[in-house]
Amino acid sequence: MLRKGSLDILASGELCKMVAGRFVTVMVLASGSLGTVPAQAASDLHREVLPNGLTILARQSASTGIVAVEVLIRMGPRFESDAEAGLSALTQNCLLKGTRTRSATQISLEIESLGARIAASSGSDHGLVSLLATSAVLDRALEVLFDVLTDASFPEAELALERTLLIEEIKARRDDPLSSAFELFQEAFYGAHPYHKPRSGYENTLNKLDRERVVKCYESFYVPGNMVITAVGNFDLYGFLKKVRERLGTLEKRPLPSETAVPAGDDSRKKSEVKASRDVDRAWLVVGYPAPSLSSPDYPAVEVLDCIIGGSMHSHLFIELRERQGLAYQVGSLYAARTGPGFLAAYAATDRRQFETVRDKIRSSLSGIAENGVNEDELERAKQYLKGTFVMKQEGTSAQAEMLGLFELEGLGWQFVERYPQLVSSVTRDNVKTAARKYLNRHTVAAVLPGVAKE
Amino acid sequence: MRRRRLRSPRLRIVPQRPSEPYGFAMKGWRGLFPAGALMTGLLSTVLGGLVPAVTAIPVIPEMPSALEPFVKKRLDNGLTVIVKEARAVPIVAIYFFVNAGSASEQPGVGGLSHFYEHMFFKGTSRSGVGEMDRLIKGMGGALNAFTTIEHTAYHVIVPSEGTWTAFELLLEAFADSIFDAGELEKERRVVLEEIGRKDDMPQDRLRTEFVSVLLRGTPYERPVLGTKETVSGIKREDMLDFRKHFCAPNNTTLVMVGDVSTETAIAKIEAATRGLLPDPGIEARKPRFEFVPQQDMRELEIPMDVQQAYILVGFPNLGRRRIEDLYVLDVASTVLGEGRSSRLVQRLREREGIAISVGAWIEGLREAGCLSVEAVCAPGNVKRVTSEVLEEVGKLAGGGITEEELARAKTMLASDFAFANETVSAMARTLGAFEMATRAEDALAYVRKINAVTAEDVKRVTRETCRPKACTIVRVVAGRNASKGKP
Repeated sequence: MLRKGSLDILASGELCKMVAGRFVTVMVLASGSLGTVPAQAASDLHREVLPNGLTILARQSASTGIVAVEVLIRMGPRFESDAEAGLSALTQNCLLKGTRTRSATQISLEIESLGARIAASSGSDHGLVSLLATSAVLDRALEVLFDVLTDASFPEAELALERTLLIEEIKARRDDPLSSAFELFQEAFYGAHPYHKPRSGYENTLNKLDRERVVKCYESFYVPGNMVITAVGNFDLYGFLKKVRERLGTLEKRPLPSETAVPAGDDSRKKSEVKASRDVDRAWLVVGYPAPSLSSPDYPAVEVLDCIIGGSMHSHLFIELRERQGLAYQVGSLYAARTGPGFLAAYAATDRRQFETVRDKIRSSLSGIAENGVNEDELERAKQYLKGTFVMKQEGTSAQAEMLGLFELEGLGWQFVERYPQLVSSVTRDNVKTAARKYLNRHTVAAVLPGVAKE
Repeated sequence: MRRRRLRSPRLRIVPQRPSEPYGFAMKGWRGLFPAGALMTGLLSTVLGGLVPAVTAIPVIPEMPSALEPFVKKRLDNGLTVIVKEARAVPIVAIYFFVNAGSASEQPGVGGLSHFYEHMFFKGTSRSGVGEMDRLIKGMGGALNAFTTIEHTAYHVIVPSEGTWTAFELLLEAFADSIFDAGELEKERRVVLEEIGRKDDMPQDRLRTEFVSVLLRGTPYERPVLGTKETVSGIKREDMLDFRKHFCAPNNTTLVMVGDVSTETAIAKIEAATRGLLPDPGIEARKPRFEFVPQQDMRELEIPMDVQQAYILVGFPNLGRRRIEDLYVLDVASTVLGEGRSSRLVQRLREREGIAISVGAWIEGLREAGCLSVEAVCAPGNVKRVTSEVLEEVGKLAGGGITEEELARAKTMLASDFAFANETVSAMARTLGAFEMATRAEDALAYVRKINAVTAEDVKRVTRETCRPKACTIVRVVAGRNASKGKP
C-alpha cells in the first residue's frame, strides 16, 4: 500500500489541520469516508442563533438516508490548568454514562436499538458529541442527545470506572511508538503553554479530578453560547429546528468559560530535542516547528506549505526520504492548525542507524524551502490537490457536519468551507516562502529510539 | 494515501475491524458490506416515543439501499465492469480489483502482490516515475492501492472532469507498468521498512501472528507484507510473472461510482479495454486447499515493550464455503461485542472494568474464516478477560439470545451498512468486494439475509464453530521484544 501513513492519533494531516489533535472516542462509530461539498448553494444551509446564544446549523439533503448531528463545545487543554489536565476528556468520557432519567445502560440500549451511534470525545480545542442515525429514527435518537446535553448526571461509580479506564488508555497509547513520539514532541514544543498537556491528562492529575470538578466542568462548558449544533442529512428541517429551540432553547444563558492563563515568557520548559528509549525495532521521530492558528491570515499559505513538504507522494519529504534514498517508509507531515499556536511537524520511522541522517534531512529540507521557496509546478499541484481533497473530505454527512460546526465555532463562520478553495487558490510562491521563513525557524525534535526500555 | 475522515482518529486500542494488513478480506462481513437495505419482507416495528424503561424495543428502519441501482456487465474478454451513478457530488471513484492477493503467492515470494502494488504506479513505457501521481494530484484527485489476503485494488478518486484521464492512467498502469530495476530496489527498502514498522505496533503484530496460528497450514497464514527474507529475494521477473499470471481481465473487476453516465461509461470502458486478453489458465493457477479448523486450543504469547496487554481470541470456521453461516455469525458477533450494549462490553468494561476496550467481529475468506474477539487490558486482568471471553462465547452457543438482542443486532447491522456506504469510494469498495467474494448483487441482499437469522441459527452455528476448547488465543504482553533483528 502506498503511503500507509494512517496514524490513529494524527489522521494523516487532515484531522490535525482542521480539528487539532486527538480525540478520545468513547464508542466506536461506524466509519464513513471523506467526501465532497454538495453542489448546492450557500442558501441551502440554515443558520440560526437562539436568544440564549446557541448556534444551530442545518442542511438538508435528499440524496441520503441518514442524518448526522454534531455538537461542538469549546473546551480542552486550553481551558485546563496543569493540575486539571484531562478534565475535559474525563468529562466527555462520562457524558454518556447517565442523566437524571437515564442510566448508562439505558442510553446505550436506547440508541443502539435504533441502530444509531452516539459518541462523546475531546480534542485540543473543543469537545464533540456526535450522533449518527438513519432518517427514520432521528427523532427518537435526538431525545437522548438532548438529554445528555442538558441533564448529564455523572454517577460516581461511572466516573470511577471511566477515570480508571482513561488512565489505562494513556498507558496503552504509549505502547504505540509514534503516538509516544508525538506526545513527547508536544511536551517539548509547547513547554509551559497549556497545549503541552495530552488531551487525556496524566495519571496523577486524573486521580485528583473528583465528581465535583467534573460537574463544574460540564456546567461551565455546556453553556449555549459555547456550543454549535449542526445537522446534515435527510431530515425534516423545520421539525428539527423546532425541537432544538424547545429542548435547547431553554438552556440558561451563562457566561462563557475562560482560557487558562498562559505563563508569560516561560520558555524554560521548551526543549529542542528530546529522546526516549523503547524496546522497538525502528527509530520514530517527529521534527516540528511553530505554525499559525486556524484563523490566522497565514493559514492558507501554511496549508499549501504542509502539502508541499509532506502531504502527498510528491512532497519534499516523500521524495527525499523515501523515493530517493529509501530511508523511511512511513514519512509525512501534518499541520495542527489550532485555535491557539499550532505546529507543523514532519514525522518518520527509520532504522536506528539512520536516525540522525533522517532528522538532519528533514531540517535541511524545510530550511531549504525557507531559503529558496518552492517552484510553480509544485505550488500548483499542491493547491489543486488541497482543493480536490477538501471537497472529497466532506462527502460523508458526519464529516460535513463536523467541518461546518468547527469553522462556525472557531469564529470563521461556516461559510469558510466555501472560501477555503479560493483562499488556497490565491496563495502565491511568495506567500509560501514568506510563511516558511516566518515559521520554520525554531525546531523541536522528539524521538523514540530502540534501546533498553527505561523504567 | 488514505486520507482519514475529519473526525475521530481512532485510537488503536479501540478494537477496529483490522484494515491492514488484511484489508477487505479480513474486515469481516459487516465491515465489508455496509449498505442500506432492501427492507421488503421485513417487519418494521414503530413505537411512538421510546420509554426509557428496562427494555427498549428495537426499531428496524425501512430504507432504500444506497447501492441500488448499479449496472454490471461482463465483457467479452472476461472483464467485469460495474458502474453506478451517484450524481449528488461531482466526483468519481475508479477501482481496479484483481482477484489475487497474498494467498495466491508461491511460498518463496511471500509479499509479492503487496510489493507489486507498491510498484504499480512507478512508471510505464509512456509515463515516467511519479508522473501518474503528479497528474492525478494536479487535477485535485488522489490515487492509492491496497493488498489483502485475497485481492489487490488500485484506485483513484477524482473530480468528474478528470474521470477519463484518470481512467486511462489506471489502465495504463494496470497493463503496462515497467517495474524499473532501480525503482524496484528503492521500493524494496521501503517495503522492508514497512515490515519493520508493523513489528513495532502491538496490534499489528498481534493480528499478523494471530492469522499465522489460526489459519496454519493454508496459504492464508503468511503475512500479506511477506517477511524480510522473502521480500529481499523478490526479483523483477517475479513482478512480470504476477502480472502475467493474475492480472488478466477475466480475473479483474472494474468499478466506477460517481458522477458518470452509465451507458457512456460502459461503452468507453469497453472500447479502452478491448486490447486486454483473457487468460483461461487463471483458475487452475490458484492454490487449491482445504482448511481444517483446529480441534485443539492454540496459544501464543508475544513479548513486546508494552504496558498493556493485547488479546485476540479466534474461533475458526469454513469461511465462504459455508456462506450462510457467516450472516449468522455476523449477528452473533454483534450481540457478543459490537456497541456498548453488547454482552462483552457490558460485562468486561462497563460492569467489571477489567477491559479497556473489547469488541467482536467476523472474517470470511473463501476457504476459512473466524469469529474473533479482541481486547486490551491491564496485565493483571489477562487471565480473567480471557476466561470471561470464552465464557460469553460459550453462553451464546448454549442459546439464550433474547429476541430483543437479536432485533437490536439486526438493526445495528442494517444501519451500519447505510453509514458505511455514503461515499462513492465506499460504494465502489463494497461492490467490488462483493463481486469478488460472490457477486455484486449480493450486496443488495445483505440486510435481508441478516434479518432472516433466527435465535436458533445463532445457537446452532456458534455451537458448531465457536468452541472454547478449539480456539486460538494470541497475546501481546510486556517482555523483551523478540522480533528485533529477525530476518
